[in-house]
Amino acid sequence: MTQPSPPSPKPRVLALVVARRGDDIADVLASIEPQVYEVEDVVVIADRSPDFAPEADRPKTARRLSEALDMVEGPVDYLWMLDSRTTARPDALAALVDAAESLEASVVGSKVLDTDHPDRLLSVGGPTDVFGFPYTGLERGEIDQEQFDVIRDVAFLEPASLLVRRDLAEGLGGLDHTLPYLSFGLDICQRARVVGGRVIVTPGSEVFSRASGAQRPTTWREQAGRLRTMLKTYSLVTLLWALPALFLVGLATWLYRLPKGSLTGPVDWIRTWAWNLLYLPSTLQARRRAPTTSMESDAELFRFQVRGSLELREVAAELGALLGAGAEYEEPDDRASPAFWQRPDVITTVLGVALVLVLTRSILAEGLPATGYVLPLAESAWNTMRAYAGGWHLGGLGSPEPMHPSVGATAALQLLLGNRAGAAGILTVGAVASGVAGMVALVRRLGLSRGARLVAGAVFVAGFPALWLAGEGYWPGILALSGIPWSLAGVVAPDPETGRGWTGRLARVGLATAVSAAFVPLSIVIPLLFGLVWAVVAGRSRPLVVGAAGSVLALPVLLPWLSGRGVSEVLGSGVPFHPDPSWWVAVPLLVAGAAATAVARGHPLSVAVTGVVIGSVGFLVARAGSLGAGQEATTAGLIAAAAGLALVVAGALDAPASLGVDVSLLRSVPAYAAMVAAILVGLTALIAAPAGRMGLPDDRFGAFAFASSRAGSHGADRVLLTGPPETLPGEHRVLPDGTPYRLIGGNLDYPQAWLPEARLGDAVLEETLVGLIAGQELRPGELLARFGIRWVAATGPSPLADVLDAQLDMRPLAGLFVGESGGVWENDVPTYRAVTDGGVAWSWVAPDYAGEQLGGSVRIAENADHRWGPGAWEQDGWANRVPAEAGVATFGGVDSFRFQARAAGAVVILLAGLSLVRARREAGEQPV
Amino acid sequence: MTRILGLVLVALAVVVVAALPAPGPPVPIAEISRSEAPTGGVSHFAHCPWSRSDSLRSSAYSVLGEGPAGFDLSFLEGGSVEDRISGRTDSNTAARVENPRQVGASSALVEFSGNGGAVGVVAAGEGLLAGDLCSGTIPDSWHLPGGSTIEGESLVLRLFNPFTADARVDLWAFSELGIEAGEALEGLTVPARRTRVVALDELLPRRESLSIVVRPVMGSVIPVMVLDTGADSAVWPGSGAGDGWEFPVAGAVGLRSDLVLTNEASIPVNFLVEVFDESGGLLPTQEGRVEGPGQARVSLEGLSSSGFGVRVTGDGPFGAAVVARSETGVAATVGARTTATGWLVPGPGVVSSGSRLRLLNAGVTELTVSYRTLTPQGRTRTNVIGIPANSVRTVHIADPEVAGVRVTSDGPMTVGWLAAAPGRAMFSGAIPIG
Repeated sequence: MTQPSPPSPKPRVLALVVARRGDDIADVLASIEPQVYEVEDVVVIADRSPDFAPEADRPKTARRLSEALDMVEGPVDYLWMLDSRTTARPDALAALVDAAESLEASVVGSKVLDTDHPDRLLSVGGPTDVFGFPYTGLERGEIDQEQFDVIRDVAFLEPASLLVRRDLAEGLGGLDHTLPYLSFGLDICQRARVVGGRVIVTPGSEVFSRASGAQRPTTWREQAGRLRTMLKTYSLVTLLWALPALFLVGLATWLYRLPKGSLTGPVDWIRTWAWNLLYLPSTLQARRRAPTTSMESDAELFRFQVRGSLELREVAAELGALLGAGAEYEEPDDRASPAFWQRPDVITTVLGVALVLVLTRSILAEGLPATGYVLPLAESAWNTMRAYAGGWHLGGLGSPEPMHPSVGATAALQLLLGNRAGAAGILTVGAVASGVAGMVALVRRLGLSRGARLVAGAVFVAGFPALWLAGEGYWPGILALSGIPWSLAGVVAPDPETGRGWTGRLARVGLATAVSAAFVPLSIVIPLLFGLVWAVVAGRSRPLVVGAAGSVLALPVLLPWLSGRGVSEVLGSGVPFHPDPSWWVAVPLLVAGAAATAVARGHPLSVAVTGVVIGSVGFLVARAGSLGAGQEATTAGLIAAAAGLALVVAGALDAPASLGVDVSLLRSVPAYAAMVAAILVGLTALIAAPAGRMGLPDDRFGAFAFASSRAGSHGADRVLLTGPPETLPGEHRVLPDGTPYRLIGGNLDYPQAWLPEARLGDAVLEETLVGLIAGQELRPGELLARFGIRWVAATGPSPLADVLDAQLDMRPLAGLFVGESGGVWENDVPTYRAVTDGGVAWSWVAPDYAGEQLGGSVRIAENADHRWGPGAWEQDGWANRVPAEAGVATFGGVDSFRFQARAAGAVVILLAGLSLVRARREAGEQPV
Repeated sequence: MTRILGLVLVALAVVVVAALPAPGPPVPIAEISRSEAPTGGVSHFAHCPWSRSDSLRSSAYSVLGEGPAGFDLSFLEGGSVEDRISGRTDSNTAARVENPRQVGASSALVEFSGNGGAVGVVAAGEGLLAGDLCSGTIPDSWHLPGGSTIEGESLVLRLFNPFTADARVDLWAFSELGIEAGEALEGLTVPARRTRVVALDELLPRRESLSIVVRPVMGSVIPVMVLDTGADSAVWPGSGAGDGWEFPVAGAVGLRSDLVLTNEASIPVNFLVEVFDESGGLLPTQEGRVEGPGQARVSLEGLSSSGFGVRVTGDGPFGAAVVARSETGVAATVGARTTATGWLVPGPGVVSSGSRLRLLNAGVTELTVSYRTLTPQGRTRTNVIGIPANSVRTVHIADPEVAGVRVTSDGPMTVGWLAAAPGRAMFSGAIPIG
């Protein structure tokens, strides 16, 4: 008979309370007392003794783990580390010890519940990514239904309640008190795992803590802590790729969050790395103390990590929520879901991004073609803004007239984006993406399905109205697609409850309207029209008020252009568009609109009717050229038609679903017909996909680069272009016989797309050209030299080109063609835009002229205006003459236009600021 | 209600939008008409594709301005301007530039500043008395009727391109054989600022009647036909097509004249030739037809015993020239496409043997005509004569210093001049003003 073996001694546990600055530890101490598993002693790890109790009742206090262990009589087996905000159930420690003993774990964590809502889970441990970012797998506010009640190996535990083997803790070199809360837990877990220890969570042990908010892992201190942990635990090989990757992930994340109003992102990012640089010596010391950091130990860590970056996944999830679910109604989860790539929002996002990439891939790869109004941005954005703000109009022979608002807008954006060549492409792709996203958000707010949202987004940016604009090379029209849907989405948004909410909402509607109006000024009325229609359809007056407010708030962005022209001129000027859709576009569209309106119910009906009204009005205006509508009016009509078309398609797509299940064939057949027709309309949006440049025509003006290559030392002179209207860049003038022509400054750029009203010089030029066509002149070069015209370029058949076949002083540049049946002639006579009395040419540094400081005067071949200077101004025929002493000639500017331009900029900044302030406040209202 | 509103709007939109017409292209406010050659009036420039100066022959350019005018006479050769001569004229003077370049045949361009003007070239010397007007404007195609390449004669077409762009032209040739075809007649390139000489007598030899239409394919050229019989030469410029032509100088005593008409259109042109002499009597008319495209030659021999002029009218546009021959001499000229009350006549007086100014009044009322001879020195002499209806008058210009004549009348008329020397003759036209 054998003697029973003596029972193994019960493990001795020392409770360590990790006190954080300012925290009251009375509760945690109180929860240790009633533990069914008795602790040997309680030691508070803190810089100084807590003063919440009389001296005699105060617990032992130690600064470090080694000091704490010295305070305990006899050896202890485990350390139970409790955060100062934690309270524990009486059986919490017993469960921890039981799990540690039975599973031979080195670190055991508790299930953490919310102190204020004890039924809600805060943490059950979990994996991390390679950068240590924790992944709880919990939805925000997820109820504890024992769904995680299983003991698991994990990579990370919140340090609310951790049981750590004492020998391990001592072997690791103690606790790292420089780390914040989450990183503190991560540090212990990672270091334990590196030395082969097992890290588990036991749900049988329940503790309570206060919710720390979704943003906690993204604070700079936590980021810095995670980086320190990486430096301490990863092998050098792993660090070699992980650190650069972390650098880039951080950069991408704060770049993403910047437009959302998180202005501290760059600062936090810098602080993270700076903090680690500061603490690098202690990090390296801790790393040397670590028993092993090898590839094998890394592999052990990787076993419990997810692939990729959890932060980037969250960004993707947020984008998905933005596109698929919207930012206002469905707040994004504060943690990424396990199958985020399977979420409809993410799928919608991926499809939306793919759509944008397909439609714009050539622009991304090769840049924008130069055609129509698609012209390179100016060399100097700042100088363009100077010219825009009450300066000299850069088109033709110049004018003090204000330039088109899109010139100022593109220059401002170019100034922000920096890169001249890339800015235009980024603007275009950004506008298309914003248009898709905005329409998706609008249709979502109108209560339609995800499929309808995405198709509507595609139809909005690539339906026939948008493609018509693109086909005409009307770049501002494409850029204007960026703001309107967001503006309309703001109109239909639910009413905020607070004044601050209203301020933000109106600011956003105004800002979005202003963005579109800056490119297509008359699109400013679209929110008003939409608000009116939606007010009627929805039976509420607020949309009309919001729409009207959006239009009014955006009005300043049209200054000073609007004040320089009358309203009637704005409505009627320019060559109007006349969209003429093919039958295979028109018929499905009519079927979709009529059938959806006839049979749909609920939201789809409202959306379809709204789309029909907006689209009809827009299309009517777009084709009203014969009634006197000009380019601006018809363009705005096309934008409205694009929005209406998108809404009709969205409503028609959801028409069958709106009928329910018990519905007659008489109703369901038209509904399905509407849906099929809408799908057909949606498919037409793919027409632009093969070329991948949003329907923009081929590059037409690339050949104009000859002006730069053949320019003299003073820079490129003017080029007189003539040819069919569709082959000329931007606006053009017409001779009495209908011959189109225009001037460009040597380097063709966007500010020159628009021509000011004809002035004296333009009249003289017209007279000269008429004389040439009449065959009265054999030396056109001599005449054109006075205008600084060095080249005549025919982009197609033209009477002006015909007469150049028989003349004496303009040399054809053989082999250089800028269009079919065209040609280029170079002036044999010296031509200068600005030349001194002594014949020294000055350079055009738009909008100024600069050259050698000389006595006498310099003739400036711009339309005469007394504000040219500096010094005494003289009129030289139609041109200007100013003293050459200063070496520079500038236009003094129009004060009222300058003030208006600055006021417009201030209003835009104010609107943007109000939107950002609101967004930040909202973020700030989340629990921290 | 919403539904009905939507459906009504769909219907309205379809109707209204479909009904809106596209805005038309901008309506031209005014046509810009191009000046027409050869009788379209004075011009600010004149192209002279031919002159000839060497040790045996001399040339003279006579320059008249419509008013006070400066002029630059530039000789283009080898792609560049070889010589430039400048001068001025006013209402009382006519300039003469003699033997500017003794390098054989050359081409020149005259540019006027201030007012427009007219230029004529006369070359005289051994085996040569020839000349005519320089072309002031450039038509779409050039007609040069009246050549021949019979044995012993040389016919060359000079294509002058004074401009900065190379030109390419096609030649349509009509002869008694019909339309002549050949690769050598197509796509002829005339380099900028050069003259190309096309030897028609080599390309199309032994044609009794050879007319050419020059059709530019690219650029522009100014052509002139030079017919050399060995004992004399005739030079006449190209002209555009017109519905009617007057030839004040169509025939002279001792010369056998032919009127040659060309038609480049595909439909035939029916024409009527009326003859006018100094008697003012009714002379027999001739009718005929120019096949399209093709040429027609009308003999004017024996129509009058004195000098005469003709008027030819057609039911379509055509080109016309008169070519006159004596035993050894040959002369040719293009007609006047329009009548006018004022004329600039460059050249008479240059020929040492004297010149005859021919005035044609094809109208039904008598005209009172004033003509004033102009010299480089500003000496002028004015005479007034009357011209009965349907008749011509001839005025002798004997003063060798006369470089030009300014003619005005109280009614529409046409003017030309001719000169003769032993065994040689020449015809020339004038430029209408007013």
